[in-house]
Amino acid sequence: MWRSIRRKSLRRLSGAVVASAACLGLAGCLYGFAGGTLPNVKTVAILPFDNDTPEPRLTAEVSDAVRQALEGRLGLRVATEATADAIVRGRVVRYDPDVPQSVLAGIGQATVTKRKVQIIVDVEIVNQREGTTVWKRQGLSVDGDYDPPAEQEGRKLALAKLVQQIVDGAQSQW
Amino acid sequence: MALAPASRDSAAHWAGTTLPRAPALIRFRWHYQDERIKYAGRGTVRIAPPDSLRFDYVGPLGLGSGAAVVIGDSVVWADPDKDFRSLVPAVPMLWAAFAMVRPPADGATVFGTQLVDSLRHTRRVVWRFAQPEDTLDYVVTHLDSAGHGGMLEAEWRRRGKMVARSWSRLDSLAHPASARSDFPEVSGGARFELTVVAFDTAQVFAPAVWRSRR
Repeated sequence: MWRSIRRKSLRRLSGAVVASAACLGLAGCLYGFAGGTLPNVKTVAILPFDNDTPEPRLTAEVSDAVRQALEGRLGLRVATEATADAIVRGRVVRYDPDVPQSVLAGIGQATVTKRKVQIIVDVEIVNQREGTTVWKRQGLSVDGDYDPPAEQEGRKLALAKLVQQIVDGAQSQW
Repeated sequence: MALAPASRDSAAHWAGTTLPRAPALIRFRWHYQDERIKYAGRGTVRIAPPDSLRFDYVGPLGLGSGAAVVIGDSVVWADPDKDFRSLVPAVPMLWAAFAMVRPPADGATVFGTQLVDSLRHTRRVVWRFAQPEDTLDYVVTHLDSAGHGGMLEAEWRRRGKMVARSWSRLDSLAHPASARSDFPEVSGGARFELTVVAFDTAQVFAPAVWRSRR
């Protein structure tokens, strides 16, 4: 009796293993057919973003965030503009470094205890082999809180959100 | 070559013709080297005629970036200041690198002449803006009938000694195509080269572009 139960369980288990392996195999095939994260895009060139703000360092920082998203999180390879499947370009439209978040009321004056930075960017990923726009977001807004005067901390948070938004946006193309 | 005294107004008029008629954004690749360092990257320059320019640059692989706003011959702000001064040692030469010329300064004495090469069907115009200490020479080679060969050469001398020299090639629309600027006295001889990737006149510049954060 015990043996028959054990044999049945084993049979069920091995059946489950085979089914799981088949599912994984099928998923692998589908992933392969899709050609990666973005359709038909394996390599990207990141062009420096136009910077419409008075903060020049954002050009490099936003490019770095975009690189992190595409290379580090989405597994795309960064290549030169001439050879890449796609190019990423965009514009840093706006940078507000000190939007008040919380205020401590006082007599005759109020103290801002928390502020946030807000960055607004336009991003576009263009498949340059097919001449099509793979993904585009205009007015993509990210922010990050900080305790004054640590603006850099807020900026780091905002850029981390930008990475996440790009990853989410690109994955929505699956 | 003999230069004749010329009117300041005609020189200022000519300088105005070197500027784009509408705001323009120029994208370019750049390369800088002196005896200590060698950098390359990309940049954009926004021109709001007649006298405003914002210069943005990014280093190799997007590492490091900076910007500066120039009004006329003055740097209004540069951030980081040291990087910009090292990359662009002389403001008039920055304008010249993009094939644009600033009008002569108020106290400058102006000379000019025109040379016509009937064999090659080219015309060269030479201008000299001389001040007590600084002298700027410009030589413009106009496009030939096929729309080739346009160039602006500029030389800046201070107390008779050459500070900088640049050669800016023009495309068939007389827009800047590439340029090389040499600064013989900077760090044992510095060179800044640029190649224009795009010339865009459809841009609208946000007011924040001109402001400084610092």
